[in-house]
Amino acid sequence: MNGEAPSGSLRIERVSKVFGDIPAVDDFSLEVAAGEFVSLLGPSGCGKTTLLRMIGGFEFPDGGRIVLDDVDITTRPPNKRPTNMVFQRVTLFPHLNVAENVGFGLRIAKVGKAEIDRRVTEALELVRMRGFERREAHTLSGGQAQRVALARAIVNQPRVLLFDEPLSALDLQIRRELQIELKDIHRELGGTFVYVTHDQEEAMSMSDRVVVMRLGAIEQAGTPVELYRQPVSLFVASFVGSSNVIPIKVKAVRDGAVVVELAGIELEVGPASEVQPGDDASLVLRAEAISLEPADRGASGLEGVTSMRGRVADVRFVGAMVHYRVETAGVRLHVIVSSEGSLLEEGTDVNVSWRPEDALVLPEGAADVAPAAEVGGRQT
Amino acid sequence: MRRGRRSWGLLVYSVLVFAFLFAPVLIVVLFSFNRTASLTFPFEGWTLRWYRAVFASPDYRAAIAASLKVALATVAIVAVIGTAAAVAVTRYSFRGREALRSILLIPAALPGLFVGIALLSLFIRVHLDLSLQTAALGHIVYTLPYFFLVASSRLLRFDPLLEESARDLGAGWFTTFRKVTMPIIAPALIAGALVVFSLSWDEVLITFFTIGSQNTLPLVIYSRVKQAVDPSINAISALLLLGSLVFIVGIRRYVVDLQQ
Repeated sequence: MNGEAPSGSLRIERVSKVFGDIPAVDDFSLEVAAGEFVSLLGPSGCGKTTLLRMIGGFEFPDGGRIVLDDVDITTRPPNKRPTNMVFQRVTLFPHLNVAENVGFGLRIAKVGKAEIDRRVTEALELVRMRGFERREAHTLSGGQAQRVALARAIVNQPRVLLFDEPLSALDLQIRRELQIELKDIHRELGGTFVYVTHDQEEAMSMSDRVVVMRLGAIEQAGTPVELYRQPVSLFVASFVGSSNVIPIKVKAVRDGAVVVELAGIELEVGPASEVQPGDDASLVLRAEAISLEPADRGASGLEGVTSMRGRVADVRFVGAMVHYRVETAGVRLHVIVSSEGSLLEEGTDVNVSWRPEDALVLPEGAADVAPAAEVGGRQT
Repeated sequence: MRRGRRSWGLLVYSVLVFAFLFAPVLIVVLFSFNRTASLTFPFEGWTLRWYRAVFASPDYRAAIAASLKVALATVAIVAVIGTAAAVAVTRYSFRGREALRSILLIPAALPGLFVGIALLSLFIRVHLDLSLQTAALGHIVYTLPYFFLVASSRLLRFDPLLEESARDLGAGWFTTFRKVTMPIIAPALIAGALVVFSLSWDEVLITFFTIGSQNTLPLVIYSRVKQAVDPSINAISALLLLGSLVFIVGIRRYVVDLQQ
């Protein structure tokens, strides 16, 4: 735990799992480096939990291999692999107190009593649950119980820690608190974390790398910034941020840029992707990449900036940010700007502008939007 | 007014029902302390002589010992088989699981007379001499469904993630059962065992057909009642009642656990 050379590099090689006729995980490959914090993000039914359970040994793949530090652990039962899991529900043993719960794995491993006491204390210290040693499991709050469950997992010094949406049952505020602490704990332990969640903010804020899953396969894997700035599909774009998705028609493709038709206006946007002139496609425009200026100040004179006319239809002030709904010719845009400076009022005519490189053209129609994400629905 | 009259009627009705239920019990207990051998009123004063007679009688002592042996053997074997069956049926899916569940429950629904005769003819056919052991076998057949029901209903409420957590923390399946499953479901198993004990303790029909030369307590009482009026029957019945009451009080906290 302390200062040991971090090990725990995980290799998932072409793993598949079928339940009945339904492929839950489909030819899935992923490498997780030792010490990396990786989140598996996706809507329910995307196979993320099944994949995690296969890493933990609770399900066995129908095909492929799972390799941990160059050892094939594909078919090992959970008690024979150096992984530990924090589950979604509280799974503390009701007949044991907090210290006995945390020491369970060490007692099974026949660690000496003094050593158990020392490591249990250390683990409880790490999750800030010192002083709760003698408490019965059922007297703890949800957040406390999950802290103890975390201590019960890390005390065994697993090479990979697995998390199956451990915070999803908790209140928003406690969830945020624990997200920060989890990240701190990861920094302190330096272990490999694989974290399953359907909460994009949770995944983005904690992880080194986020793997967006869809239908049992990887839709996109990358750092949170990469996913946010360069989503490869509408599914990812709508899952990881608050973006405007606008149906468009591709007019022409020039070097490095695409000319599209949006509500009768021709716009040049970029970067180019796999689209042909005449295609129906979608324009993805992040809400905070758009800037607004009152129209009476005249058109934006900036070079290379795309600009449209619009009118502010709704203003939502949420502290640090202001959310505007802007109606342009036939298109409704969600715009987020800093609340510093003067605010626009409802009904104001505005110039709507963005830099062409901030607008992405993706070849799919709007029907491919991730079901769980609501465009523009995020509030902080 | 009308409501008042109706509730009076309800009160009288309730008292009558309870009197019907408990008056015989009270009379038996009362006359177990009666000084004379009369089983009818008037009550003629207090004595413990019938209790002394019970404990002095070699027949009764042998019968109590026989009943205890049969009941304890039944409880021990039913607890092991019943727990294993309940774990199998609730935890694992296998071919014929539903059939097994039904078959396990059937003996409780069969008439005792039928089970007794069936077992008797089986024992004769396989040349098994009737004894306390065969009686215990009969009791096992009869009480297993009750234990199975109690154990499997507790296991159905058991969160399988607790077992997965134990496996995850390094416990094999047997260690998991011993250190996690067993301690958590223990109250239900104890409640089931007490039910089995009390069923076995006063079982008559199946015992009658499957027992050898020795007799259990209910059979001795039955034959005594047929022979002559004997107030020691009252004493031994009162003792049986006391035993049952102790069980009921003892079982309560476990039953409460079952209802949670």
